Amino acid sequence: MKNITTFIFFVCLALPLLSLSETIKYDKVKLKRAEIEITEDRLLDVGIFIFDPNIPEDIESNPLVFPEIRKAEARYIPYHLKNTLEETGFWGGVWMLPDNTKAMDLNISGRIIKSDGYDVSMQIGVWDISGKQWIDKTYKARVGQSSYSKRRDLTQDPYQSIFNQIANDLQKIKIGYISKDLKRISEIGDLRFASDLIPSVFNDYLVQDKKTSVYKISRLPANDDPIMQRIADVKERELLLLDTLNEYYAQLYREISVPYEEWRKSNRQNAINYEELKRSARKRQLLGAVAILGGIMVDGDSNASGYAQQGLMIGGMQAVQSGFAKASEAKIYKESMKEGGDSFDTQAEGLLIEVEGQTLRLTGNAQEMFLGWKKLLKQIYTEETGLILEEDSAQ
Amino acid sequence: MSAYKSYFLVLFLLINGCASQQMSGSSQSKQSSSSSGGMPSSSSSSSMPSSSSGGMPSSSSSSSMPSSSSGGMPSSSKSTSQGAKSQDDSNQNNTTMSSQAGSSNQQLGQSASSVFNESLGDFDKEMAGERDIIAASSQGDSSMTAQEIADMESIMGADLDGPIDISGDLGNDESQGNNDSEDEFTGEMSEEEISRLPSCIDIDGSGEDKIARQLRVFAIKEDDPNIRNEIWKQYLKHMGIGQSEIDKCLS
Repeated sequence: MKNITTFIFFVCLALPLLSLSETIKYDKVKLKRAEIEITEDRLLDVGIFIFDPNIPEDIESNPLVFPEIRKAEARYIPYHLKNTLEETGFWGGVWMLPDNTKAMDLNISGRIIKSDGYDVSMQIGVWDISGKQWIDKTYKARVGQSSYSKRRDLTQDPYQSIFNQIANDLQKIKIGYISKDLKRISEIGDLRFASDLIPSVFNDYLVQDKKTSVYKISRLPANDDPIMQRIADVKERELLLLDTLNEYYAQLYREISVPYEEWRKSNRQNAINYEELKRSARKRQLLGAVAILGGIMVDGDSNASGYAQQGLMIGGMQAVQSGFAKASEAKIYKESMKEGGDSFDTQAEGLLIEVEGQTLRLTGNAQEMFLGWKKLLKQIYTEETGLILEEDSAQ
Repeated sequence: MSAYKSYFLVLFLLINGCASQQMSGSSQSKQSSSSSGGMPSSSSSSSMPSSSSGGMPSSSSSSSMPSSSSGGMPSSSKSTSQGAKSQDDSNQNNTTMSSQAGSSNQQLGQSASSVFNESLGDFDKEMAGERDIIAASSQGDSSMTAQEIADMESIMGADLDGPIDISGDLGNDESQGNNDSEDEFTGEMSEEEISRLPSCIDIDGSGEDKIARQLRVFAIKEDDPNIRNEIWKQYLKHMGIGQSEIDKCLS
């Protein structure tokens, strides 16, 4: 009776291990699109920063994170998010940003947590220009094989579910704002931009809440304020610069899309095989260990208990052994992922160097121009109003 | 004599005065040309100093975007009062647009607003030039988007899920529709298949690329003579055969 109880105990212990097979649910999120044209007072300009590639400092202990691929993803993903947001028709202009700017009504930042073609996870933060946070959320998706099918709509990225989810969440939040509030966000944006150019004039137009750090308007300039018109001209040039920079990002996006998808597709299969074998190895090793433990614990003098003990010990050892075999098989897929990653990593590096060079050149030159405009605007203000501006303190 | 001396002295002073006026005049015009609009011209901006790019390190390392700058504009502004401006302008580096704009404004008597407007125009021109360069490089770029590749494959009928098994018909595995191998099609063909080949097309398929090979396979497999004819047309077009020769070949 005792033997049977022991046996049942170990079988019960092993059963959960046997039922480790999981049902995989692939996410399919449909993008919400505007059914009618959105009126201008409900449109916000959106800026998406280049994502944080989140490259681990200790790259040696993370062999499956490829720095150049991550850097490429940090530019590819926001660009695709830009396309997705544009596709919805709910937003004004959408730009990818290399740097901080006050020209946008809404800013999106992101950090890539995981991206191996199979599992994707990214942290997304969204703030409007008043400083109010809209979203702080980690988005995750598991990507199915069909997402890589050549027969799919190829404008849809394999990670499209995440992009759609972000876009839908943003729209859901925007719906909660009445047009007047959305207009107020744009006005705050204009004043923050103006305050960045001529702080000594426009700092007083805004007040920042000490607790929440959210900006509020204390007063508005006149509608026909000539200096505001000139500031709008500079803002237009900033958007023009961003348009041009986005052309370079578009080039990178186009050049990288095919090899990036190929890499994700092959890496996905390797990642599945690797995870499956790793899980199988762990399962076998655990089962083997349980069986050996059961064999040791089986007590009794009868022949039956002797056979049971022997059977459990031998079976357990075989299971442990096959677990190790599976583990070494898994390593092959890990190596395969590493090889594929290294190859695309090199390819991505070349493309990144080119686009980054162009970005630096353009932004560096534009920086000088914007500095010049800042000085000229102050001069113009003094000429037109007769007021001598105080030295602006660094913000 | 003293009258002569006085005359020569006055003459000398006058000449000297003219010369100095001429010198200052030429310096003004030089600066005005260099500072037309207070901006480097698009031609000079194409070779921008590397030091300027250092102003935005965040572009290369996006993970750490400095909050000090905003969209190419550093927030630490160096605003000066009108009185102190001229002194500041003379002290600043002449290569920066701002100092050019400031000095030209003073020396030419141009208003700051006209310099501002000119500089906006210059910036627009520069950006337009930049975008022309991007457009030209995009046109020259042979890389295709995923959509374009898919479109091409779909036209060529290569987007079928599984490999197209024609080995039984053509007797050679290498001629499969989705086969990535670039080997020439050399399979043995049945009499019926040979009969489907237009007289002008080589039986061995020499000189074919992957797409032509796929078209040949699809044409040979096609039972409908009209559709087959259309596929052969596409094949011949792809092989660079002229329309008159195609018509002659398929008549």
